[in-house]
Order: sequence, then structure tokens, then C-alpha cells
Amino acid sequence: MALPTSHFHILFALAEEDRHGYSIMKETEELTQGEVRLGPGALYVALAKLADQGLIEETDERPAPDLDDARRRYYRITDGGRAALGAELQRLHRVMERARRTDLGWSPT
Amino acid sequence: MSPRTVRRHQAVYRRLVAVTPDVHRSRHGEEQVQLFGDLLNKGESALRLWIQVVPDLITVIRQSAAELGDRTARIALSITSLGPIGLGLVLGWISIDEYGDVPVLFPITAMALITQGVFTLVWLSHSLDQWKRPAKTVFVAGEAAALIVGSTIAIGSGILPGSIIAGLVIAVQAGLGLIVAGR
Repeated sequence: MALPTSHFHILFALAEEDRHGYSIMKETEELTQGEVRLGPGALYVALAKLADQGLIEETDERPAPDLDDARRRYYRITDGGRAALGAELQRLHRVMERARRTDLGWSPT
Repeated sequence: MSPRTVRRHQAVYRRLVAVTPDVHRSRHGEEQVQLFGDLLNKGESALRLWIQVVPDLITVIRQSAAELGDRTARIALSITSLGPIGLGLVLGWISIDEYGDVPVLFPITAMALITQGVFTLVWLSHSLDQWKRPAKTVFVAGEAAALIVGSTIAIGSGILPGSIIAGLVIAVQAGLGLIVAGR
């Protein structure tokens, strides 16, 4: 089953490194060139759901104190999360392959 | 934006977050308010942020309410699943105690009820998630069969003393199971 857009982008951001909410939000905006913008509420609803599904977890590992804000919570992707992200990327890859072979009146750049 | 102005915006936002369901607020409410402040501190336009807040909070309320409903239904199903297990054990005990004097349907029904109740609890515990689709198919088929059997016993009665109650217990549990599976 396809991952919801917000879940996909959160997993993608966390696959690179452990992040806090603000960092996930900014990474998603950057990756999608501002097309996907997670609101604070929607972001934390998605984080809670992903944590409940075992795809991400909160981590105690934090950056150096001078780079850290003690109030922030950091999240990391789990093995299950990487598997779910991989499956979604495979699915998108298949769609792209099909799109390349089909005359849709559009060509990927 | 000055820290004082950011704190004022955060205070208003905190009041709005307070109307979101407790299941969400207690887990992430304060983190959400802090992120709102971070966005303002990093130069985000306050107007743009406030325009985004209303649909964002509606998303939170809608999804948290759905989650709460789902959780409540699952808890209710866990509790009612003890019904078929209990009935199955009673039927099993009668079958053993009066071996030879009860119809062969008794031990078969006992086994079916215990299996159905235990399977429901195992399914709810997410232990079968690696076989998600076949497990759900078996679960839905089992609950549908139980709903038919339970309703038939409750309506038909005469098989056992108290069979109306027994049938209702089975039917309610199975009905709840189908509701949870359909969510």
C-alpha cells in the first residue's frame, strides 16, 4: 500500500540522519522545492503515527550541546521504516518506468 | 521578530493547540508550540504561518479523533473477545464432563469459539503484521462466520439454556471485529 505523502517525506528526511521536527519540516520543503509544506500539527500527527507503526523512534542521541536545544526531541528511522521507504521508492520507480514507456503527453526531465 | 513577540504568538497558538484532542496534545502539544516558535524565530512570515494554522489544526483534530475512535474500538474488541473464549471453555467443559451425552457440535463449537477469540487477540496485538493481508482475510472471514452463527443462535435459541445471551455475546464481538477491520 502506498505511503501517505507526509509519511514518505518524513521517512526520507530521517533516512539521511536523525532529525528534530523543525529539521524534518525544512528538509521536506527543500526536497520538494516548497511544494510539500507540513504544518506543525500535521507533522506531529504523522510522527506519532509512524512511531506507533514502529517505522521511526525517538532517540536519546543528541548533537554537541552548543548545537543543541535541550527542549527538542530527535527522531530516527528504524529498520522497518527503511524497508517501508524502500518499498515506496520501488513503487515510485515502477510508476516512473511505466510513464517513460507510455505516451502521456509528458516527458520526465 | 523580537523574542517577546514570538512568545506572544506562541501563547495564542498554545491556546489553539489546547482544543486538540488530549491523545495528541499530551504527546506532542508542547513540541508543536515550540516548533511554531522556531519557525517564527527563523524568519518565517507570521501571516503565512497563521494562514496555515487553521487547516493544520483541523487535520490534527480529524486524525486524532479517528485514532481515538480506532483505539476505543480495539479496546472494546479485546474485552469482548474474552466472551467467545469463555463460552468456548464452558462448552468444552460440558463436552468433557458429559462425554457421550452431548452432540458432537458442542466440542466443535467450543474449539471454534476459543480459536476465534484467541485469533482476534493475537491479530489485535499486531503479531501477525508480517502476514498482514492473509491474516486480515482470515480475521474478517472468522468474524463474519461468528456473526452469522451468533445471530442464528440468538434468534433461533433452544440449543442451550441462555443461548440468546451466548449468541449475542458472539454476535457483538464479531460485529465489533468487522468494524475494527473495516477502519
